[in-house]
Amino acid sequence: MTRSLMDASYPAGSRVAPKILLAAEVGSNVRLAAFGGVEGSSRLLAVGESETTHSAPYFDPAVGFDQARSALRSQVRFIADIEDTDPCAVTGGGIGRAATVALISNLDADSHARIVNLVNVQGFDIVAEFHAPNKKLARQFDPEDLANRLLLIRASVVAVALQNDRGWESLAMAVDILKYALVGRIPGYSPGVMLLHSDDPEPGLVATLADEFEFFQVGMRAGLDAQSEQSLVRSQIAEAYQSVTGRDAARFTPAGLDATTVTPLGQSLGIVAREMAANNGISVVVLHAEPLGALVAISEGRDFRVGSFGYDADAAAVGHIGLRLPMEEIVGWIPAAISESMAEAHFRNRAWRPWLVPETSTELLLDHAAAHLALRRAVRSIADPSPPVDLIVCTGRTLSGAPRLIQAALCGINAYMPPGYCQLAVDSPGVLAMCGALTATGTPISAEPYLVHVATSLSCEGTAKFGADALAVQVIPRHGEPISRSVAFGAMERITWDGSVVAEVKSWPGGKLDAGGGKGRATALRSGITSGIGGLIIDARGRPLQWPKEGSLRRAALLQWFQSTDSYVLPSQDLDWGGVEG
Amino acid sequence: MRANESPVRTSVFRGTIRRRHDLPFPGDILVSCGDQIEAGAPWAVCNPVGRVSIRDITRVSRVPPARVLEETNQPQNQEIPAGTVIAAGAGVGTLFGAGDWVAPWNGKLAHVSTISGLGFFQQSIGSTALFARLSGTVVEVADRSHIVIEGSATSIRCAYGAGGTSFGRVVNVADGAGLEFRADDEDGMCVVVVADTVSMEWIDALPPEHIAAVVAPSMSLDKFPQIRKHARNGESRDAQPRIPTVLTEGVCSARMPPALQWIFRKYEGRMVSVVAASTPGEAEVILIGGDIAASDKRPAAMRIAAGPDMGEQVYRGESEALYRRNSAGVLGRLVDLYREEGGRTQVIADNLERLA
Repeated sequence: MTRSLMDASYPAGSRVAPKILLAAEVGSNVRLAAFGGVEGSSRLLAVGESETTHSAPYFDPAVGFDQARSALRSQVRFIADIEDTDPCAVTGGGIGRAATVALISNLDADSHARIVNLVNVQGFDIVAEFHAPNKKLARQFDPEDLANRLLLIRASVVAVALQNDRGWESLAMAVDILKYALVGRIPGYSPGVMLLHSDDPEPGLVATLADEFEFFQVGMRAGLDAQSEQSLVRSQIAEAYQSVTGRDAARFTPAGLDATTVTPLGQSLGIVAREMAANNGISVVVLHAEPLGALVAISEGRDFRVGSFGYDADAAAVGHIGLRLPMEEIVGWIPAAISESMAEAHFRNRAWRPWLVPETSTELLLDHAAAHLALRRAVRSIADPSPPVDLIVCTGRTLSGAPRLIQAALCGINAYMPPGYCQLAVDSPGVLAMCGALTATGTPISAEPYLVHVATSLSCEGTAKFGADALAVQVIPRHGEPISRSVAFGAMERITWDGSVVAEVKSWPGGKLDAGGGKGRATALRSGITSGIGGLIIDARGRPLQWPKEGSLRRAALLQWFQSTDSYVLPSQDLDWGGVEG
Repeated sequence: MRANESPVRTSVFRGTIRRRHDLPFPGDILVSCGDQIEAGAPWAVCNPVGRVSIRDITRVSRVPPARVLEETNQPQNQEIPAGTVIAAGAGVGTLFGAGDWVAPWNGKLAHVSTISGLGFFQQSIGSTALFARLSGTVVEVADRSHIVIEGSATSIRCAYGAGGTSFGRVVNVADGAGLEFRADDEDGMCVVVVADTVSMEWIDALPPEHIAAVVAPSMSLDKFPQIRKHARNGESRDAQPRIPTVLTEGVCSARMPPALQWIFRKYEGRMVSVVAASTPGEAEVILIGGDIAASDKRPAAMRIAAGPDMGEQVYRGESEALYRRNSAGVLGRLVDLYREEGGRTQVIADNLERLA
């Protein structure tokens, strides 16, 4: 008996060896998380982190994965040995571009919409539609123009969906354009081709596609809405999706992870948002920011929408979101003394070394400004203006790794611009995406235990005169004196109270402003809230955001926001503009 | 709180390395698995396609698709000079007819479809040979896709690269500023290694017929935008200098760390590959051959890669790394360091890179 206990890989005192699940996230670093199954639920045990090694000088992703596994192994060695355990789910913004589709179709409007939905649901991002309803393609599109537009878009997959194609004229046109006008024109670009058809297409054309491209054939038949047909088509598109994402991910993950499911970051975060929204009956926004890109997932429980910014979306060789944004706009968010060229130098250096962490307050401000501006664009791509939301979750290397959680919360507010009341939480261990990736493999992992409640925000929509009374707020802790504040338009304020005490919140907005109950109407939260780290953040900057245009007033406004929320502390020498151009 | 031994990112790797060489365009791979290949030797020939003119010949010649082959005056896949009539238009003149389809460039008629009636005319831009970046053994050949070469070398990761891949012999230049460099014709193409920060004007002044590439530590803040806005870049947002250029440190005014200078001095006159790729993380200098040992008996050199001390060479101190916050408030493993030029400092391990 003693012998068998000593042989076991867990300490003698333990009676149950937990089942260990590993998930990996590949971004600017490789992160491996171990989840242990205890009494029916899986909990995070530890996270191991290492450098990514798919680039110089290694060009071998296995080195980074092994180092991350080694770091993780030392932390969980008393529970289990993970030396031979491979991650069962991989996700991350660094594992290649999102699987994009350019759809060429001559289907009728209803069938076309169904196909768009089917392709989207499986995770593809349709970036262009060339739709000629019930027509020959040649009647609707000039072939040379179509070829040039496809080259400009450079989708991972060109999907061709045709019906009533007499004599295969449209199919032949599509095949010939792909073979003779796309291949060989841009270095390294050869798309996958997905053929969705309702008849048996001409074998010679199919053979050409199979010979020249990564080819996926999806059989549609008449009566696409029949359950079994839909299911078949779904599974065929899902296979294509896995193949395309797996092909892209192969460069960034070690060989031999064939059994590992690769889930794109957007899908992982969307799944988490959907699960949290469904479980709690609330609307959830997940904001994910890292040097490579910014991603937002919005869900009200049934489905989710994903918007992104960056991630080399147009295949340009730019590795930092800061370089995709107008430098003037970023610098406008920095009260410290910094010129546009200094900011650009910072982001260029960060693009080449995205794993670096800020060494100065100004570097930190630049990273956070770029993150929230990129997130704002991602939000706008799917929801403009931002609808009311119950919970904003901040995650990703830039936000999870923020020195103060209140900084991540402020980024969340600036990025999403939530109207009315909203709770703000941060995924402090940075495992949200990995939870989503594991859930996508059929192993549901709840992300809620890893969220830290940071603050509740109260924002008003509308505009008023700068400095005029905008919001009167009263926080009434259940054990203690009520705390009242009157906040001027254009300012921010924060109220904190004993973290263990629940408080009621009431607000009275100015006449033209709306704090969630209508213009000038008082509001009160139905349920009490706890302070968290950040308390109640009152945002009286209006929606859309109003701030002074003149440089020094603008910087003063920024300092007021940062100081009133206790988010950033700037050394006085950083505020000295002597010797800084522009 | 005491931290574990902090892993530090590697910037210089010595040993057996593998480099995948991709076929960017359709072409032919010239080597087989197990072949020995030298850096700079061709491993494939590819055939990029220029512009493509597509015409609906059924409209040009007013014939059904089945007859379009008869209407084209030129054979397929043979060179056709610009101005040649590929398919004659039906009707008189261009008022009522569709006009002739005339070759807009030198090229070839790649395909005429008897199903769709479309003709595809591709501009010829010639075949391009692709050269190996590494000397060694071909260990993988994927038809129409790529090969992998394995060999002994030292790879130095570079922050920035632009201009493409090139090969040459190392020529170390002691002082970059105001340099008058004259390459020796007999030694072939040179890779100029500069220890000081450089400017675009200095690179432009180098003779491209002798200089294969420039390896420099940095470009100062006020000089770098000149690359970005260089007239040759056109609409491209990324720099394209006339000579392939890599920067080991980045956009700053840092000198090349002494540990890197030492490595390049040891390679004086020997062949290196400079991969001046603009994709972040892909720029590197490959020093062919693995017979350069670590510098000396001094402790392993590292560089500070961020903050005001960016590019400075440091050595690890005796104190163990501790979890602490730096001046930006970031919590991390703060490593105790000796500066190369004297004094001590502490930097988060994430912001350090090993140089030897």
